[in-house]
Amino acid sequence: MNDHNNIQDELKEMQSMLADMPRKMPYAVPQGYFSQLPEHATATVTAGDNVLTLKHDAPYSLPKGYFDQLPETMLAVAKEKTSQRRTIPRAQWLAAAMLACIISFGGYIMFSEHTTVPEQMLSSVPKVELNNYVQSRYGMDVNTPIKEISISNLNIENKDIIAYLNETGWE
Amino acid sequence: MPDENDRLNDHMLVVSFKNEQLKETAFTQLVRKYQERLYWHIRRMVVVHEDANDILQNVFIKVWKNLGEFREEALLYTWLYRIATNETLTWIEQQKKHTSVSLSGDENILTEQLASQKDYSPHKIEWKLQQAILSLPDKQRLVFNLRYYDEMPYEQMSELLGTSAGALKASYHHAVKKVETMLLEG
Repeated sequence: MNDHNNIQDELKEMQSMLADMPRKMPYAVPQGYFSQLPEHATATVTAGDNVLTLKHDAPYSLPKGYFDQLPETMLAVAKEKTSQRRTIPRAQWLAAAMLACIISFGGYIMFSEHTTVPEQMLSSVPKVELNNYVQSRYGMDVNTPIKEISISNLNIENKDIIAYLNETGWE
Repeated sequence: MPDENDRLNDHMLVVSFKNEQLKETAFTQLVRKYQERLYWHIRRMVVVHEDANDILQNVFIKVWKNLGEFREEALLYTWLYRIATNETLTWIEQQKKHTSVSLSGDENILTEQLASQKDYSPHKIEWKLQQAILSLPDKQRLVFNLRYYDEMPYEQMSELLGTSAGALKASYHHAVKKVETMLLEG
């Protein structure tokens, strides 16, 4: 067998009876078919792609002027879809940006130094100055131990205590 | 197989098609140049003229839609054959689905269609040959037709069908033997 492109040589090498057979197709083609096809095909593709598929005994009916109006209808739909696609992402971006701001601000409030500032600030103030401040501001000596709070030191009368216990329960 | 002049001509057709002002003229020339080869490629597979015509027109619609993006990495000739082959095989598959409930097999349907052709004569050798070719499975029939009628080189057929040249050669030789057997039996 060889690789060149002579079909008859290849068939002869195979000792095939097809080598000597006529290769002309016996099928008939309508008269003038090939002379008309180029113009017909061009007219078809430029007029609309679906016309040909409906040509042969199509059992379906279409609204009058369907294909005449279809390009404009499709264009309007496409434009509408495009404009929707533009506005929705903008709204989503805006919402996302706002959400990000809220989360950031909340995070800043929650995790910022505010909760630790008093302790940190106080720890940096010398103890002597703090004692002086408490003494001058509240007239208290920080070195004096605070007396244990007792109900008897509160100067509350017994009738008030009984009334309170009647309201809230004795146990 | 296109020669150098053909390739240059094809290149000019593609370039012209991409020019909006020359598009329709280039397309008409392309159809004129390839219509018969593509038509017969399809008709040998589907037998009936009306079916071949429908498929061919679908092929040209696809060409119209896609030639603008054709990068000429393959020959225009191969590209056109690929579209025609795909369209034909898709059509055949659809027909099989439609007729799957009928009692007749695919081969019988094709035989009936062959017998309904104008000037059909079961005793004439050219019709006997067609009958024998129609007995081949679709893919093998495609390979046989591309080689026997279109004289397509195996390498190009390989590019077209995505099968190795060796496998195509084996398929063709097997098909030739089957057709011979059918002719001798008939």
